[in-house]
Amino acid sequence: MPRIKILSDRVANQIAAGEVIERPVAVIKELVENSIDAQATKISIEISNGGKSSIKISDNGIGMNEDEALLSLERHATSKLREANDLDEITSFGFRGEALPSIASVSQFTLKSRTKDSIEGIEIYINAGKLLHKKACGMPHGTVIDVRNLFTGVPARRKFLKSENTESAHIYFTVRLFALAHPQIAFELIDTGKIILKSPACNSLNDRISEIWNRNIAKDLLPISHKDENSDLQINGLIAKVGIDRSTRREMIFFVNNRPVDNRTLSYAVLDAYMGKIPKGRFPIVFLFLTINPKNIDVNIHPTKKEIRFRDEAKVRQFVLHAIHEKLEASNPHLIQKQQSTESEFPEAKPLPIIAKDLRQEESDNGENTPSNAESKKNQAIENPQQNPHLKLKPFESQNSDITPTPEPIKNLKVNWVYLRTLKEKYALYQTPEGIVLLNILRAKQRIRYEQILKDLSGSKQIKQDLIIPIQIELEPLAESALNAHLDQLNDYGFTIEPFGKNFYRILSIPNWLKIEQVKKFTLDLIDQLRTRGSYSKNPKQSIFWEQIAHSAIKDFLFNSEKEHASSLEKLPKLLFQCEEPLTNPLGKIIFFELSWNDIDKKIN
Amino acid sequence: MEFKINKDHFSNGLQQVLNVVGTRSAMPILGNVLIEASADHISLTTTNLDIGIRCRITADVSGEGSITLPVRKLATIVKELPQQEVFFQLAANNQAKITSGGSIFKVMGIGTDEFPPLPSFENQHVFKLEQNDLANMLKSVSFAQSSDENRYILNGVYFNFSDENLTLVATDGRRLALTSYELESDSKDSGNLILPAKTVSEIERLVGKGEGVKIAFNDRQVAFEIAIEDEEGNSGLIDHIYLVSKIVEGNFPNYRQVIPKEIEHRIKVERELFLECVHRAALVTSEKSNSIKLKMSNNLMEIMGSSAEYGESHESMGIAYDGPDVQIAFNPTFLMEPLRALNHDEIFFEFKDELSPGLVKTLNQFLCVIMPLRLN
Repeated sequence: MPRIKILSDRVANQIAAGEVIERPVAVIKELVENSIDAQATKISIEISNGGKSSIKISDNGIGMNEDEALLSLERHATSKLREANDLDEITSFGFRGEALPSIASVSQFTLKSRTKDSIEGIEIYINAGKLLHKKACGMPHGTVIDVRNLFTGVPARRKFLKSENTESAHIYFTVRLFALAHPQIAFELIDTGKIILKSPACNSLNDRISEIWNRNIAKDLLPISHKDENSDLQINGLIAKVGIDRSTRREMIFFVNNRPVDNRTLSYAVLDAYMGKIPKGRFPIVFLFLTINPKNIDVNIHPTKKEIRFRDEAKVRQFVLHAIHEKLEASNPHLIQKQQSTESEFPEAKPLPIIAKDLRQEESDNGENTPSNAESKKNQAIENPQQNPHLKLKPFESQNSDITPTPEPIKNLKVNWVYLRTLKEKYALYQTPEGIVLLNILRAKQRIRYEQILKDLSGSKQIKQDLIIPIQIELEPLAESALNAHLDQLNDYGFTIEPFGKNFYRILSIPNWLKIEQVKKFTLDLIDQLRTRGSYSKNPKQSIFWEQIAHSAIKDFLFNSEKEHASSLEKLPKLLFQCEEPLTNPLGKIIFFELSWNDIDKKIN
Repeated sequence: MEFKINKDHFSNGLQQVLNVVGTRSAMPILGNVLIEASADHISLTTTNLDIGIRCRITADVSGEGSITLPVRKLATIVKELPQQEVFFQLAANNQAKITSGGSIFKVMGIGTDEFPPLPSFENQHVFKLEQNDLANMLKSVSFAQSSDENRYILNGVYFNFSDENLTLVATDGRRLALTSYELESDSKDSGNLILPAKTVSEIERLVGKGEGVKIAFNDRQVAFEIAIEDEEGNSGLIDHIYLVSKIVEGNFPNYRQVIPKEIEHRIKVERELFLECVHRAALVTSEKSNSIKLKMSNNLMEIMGSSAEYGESHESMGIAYDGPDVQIAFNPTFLMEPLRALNHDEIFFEFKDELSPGLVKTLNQFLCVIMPLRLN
């Protein structure tokens, strides 16, 4: 039976390294954070072989003198934290004092540092945790750390490294994040002699993004800046315009107090704010910087501090959601265009015979046609023609519609779409003064129904259908507490749900719009939503929660395969353009596309 | 097996049993009709394991026997045959040869031993009533059945035989319809069952061909023996149609406690006029604001509908009423359905206040409780 012993520092460091330093990029992260904490204004990173062979980080920060430099290599030595209470209010990146000894314990490690005041620098060389030499050296002020042969002596870790390209890609990504978070610091990243990124100190985040990310992206982003008067929350950054989306979350980037983090609360808040504006399963681009009182977050829950926890998640979520939602609404192009919508500008459409064969050809060509289509609009007034096909149609739509939900303007609103015929029982073909439009009937109806439900929900009058026999639902304790917390709100919206013994509830009345067959499933789905997404705002306009409800409500809204009556299809565009988002169905799928006469002429002649 | 049969009779018989056969069945045999020839008739049987139907048709049987044939195909073929006289013969390998005039068909069948027999069961309660009464009773409650699969208990019509009464109840949770009928019976035969919605519609379709119907049931199954009276022999159907069905297992909710005991206000209205007024008032309602308001004031009932999309409607009817003004909102469909299902000239409408259910009633046999809509 082995006896209990205290591990040597070297082993302890290697274990810590196992947590903190899992791959080369972690070294970069720790060291760059140190440089930033050391008030550097210029940070240069050189790597080779994906960081496996060498990583060298130089900065012009405050540097360390000999004693400090030696001490910094001891375990739990840090300048950033003095006592446990400081953990409540961490403003620096590092604080545990684990990084340097951990890195030094698994590599050939050279540290060179000089403070402004000293005349010479100090150089310390450590091989796999063993101090081999220290000597004076000449250098500019700042710190240079050179890490070679990472994970020497830890073959297990080495084996699990990915290919050089992968490791490099991780490093590029992380360095770019740092560069984003600190536009005032000049960054340089060199991979095996090749400059990957070089950015001087920039004035604004937008400059930095176009500098290092992608100039095209910068164009599609909207600056956002929002501060909550009553609390310490502040949000800055850039968010994608409506219609710009990506297939992965990689470009949803969050910083909390300038620290890049992954946080579910934040990403859900953003996704919810974009709900219905981008297709389901796609992700927006956001670069968000949240400033919060350090007291209200816990960064000490993850070895590499990649995750953080908010003290009041609901508040943060509300704040972010609200800020983005407001920004997106305010920048909605059709609101700007509202005044320009006219009817008189369009000459009366002269119906032309449309031949199915032409149509097929046009249909197959629509991919290339759409861009020129948008450009050919005579009334195009949006400053930046959007790059996304979803937005291509926007100028067109805004000309033809006054988007006002109240009944009066409906009379004025004239959608000059002449219904021609139905194709494949799925699409309705319209002729417009501008060209022809193919419209997906089901999606258009879903959008209309969806906004009706939303409108119903936001109206103050909720019609309740009392039930003669209450519907019982049984819930597990977690779901029960979620329901309990929102019971009043649910009851405001047309339900009457009351507790009926332990874990049992009964539904005494339901909203009039909800079909009785759907009640049980709907209610259970709703409770699930409440559990995963948490609270929602009272104002249904912002209430993503209710959008979710409307979503699930239309999911069951099946297209009755009966042939649509021509008269209802004539009315459809008008109803559609009374909707707030007439371009996409509630799941973000495009509803119609247009082909202008110009394009048709071009194609055929 | 060999018989001669009238084409229309044959076709008519197949129509009687065709409905229960699903279009896509896991077992091919369930898509077939069992044809048995004996003495002076053939019997046709189909089943989908939940419901089975058998009927008998007159025929000149010259050789007894049996076969199963795909029922939909057979029905189509028989309907198209050129002459009234049809000869049916069993050939080798489960083939049936059908001859009529110049047409000869050979139809592939399946041996009868695979065909699941209709269950016969014991410990049964037996009742007899008139087909017309059953038809009327079913019609006056079946509209209220639920189609919510989560509450399968409500997916049917509840039959309760007790106290010399047969009571039928159906509800979908928002309204409840009940009708009762005096019935001579033995108290040992008391009992109840829930007849599945599909069977309800089959029974509604089949009754009305004769006088009586015999209902027998135990706690799993129910059988209906629907007598055929066909003096002129036009349909070819003889004896009775026999239908066996599973019943919905479970306890029907206690409907008695949801029926208001005290009557606050009662008005007498002309059924058709009331129906027409509600129907017209509902013309302007929409899917999302599917409600109408009834306002009762001194000798006047006003019916109002409105929606943001279409506008408003207002109907008024004279009534004998001197109580306080009361205004109640209902889903118009729930009002119209019982009014349509009845055939009385005058009915009673009972109500209390805007939060209490409304009742459509006849003097003794029928009532329908309709839960109101409430504006928050």
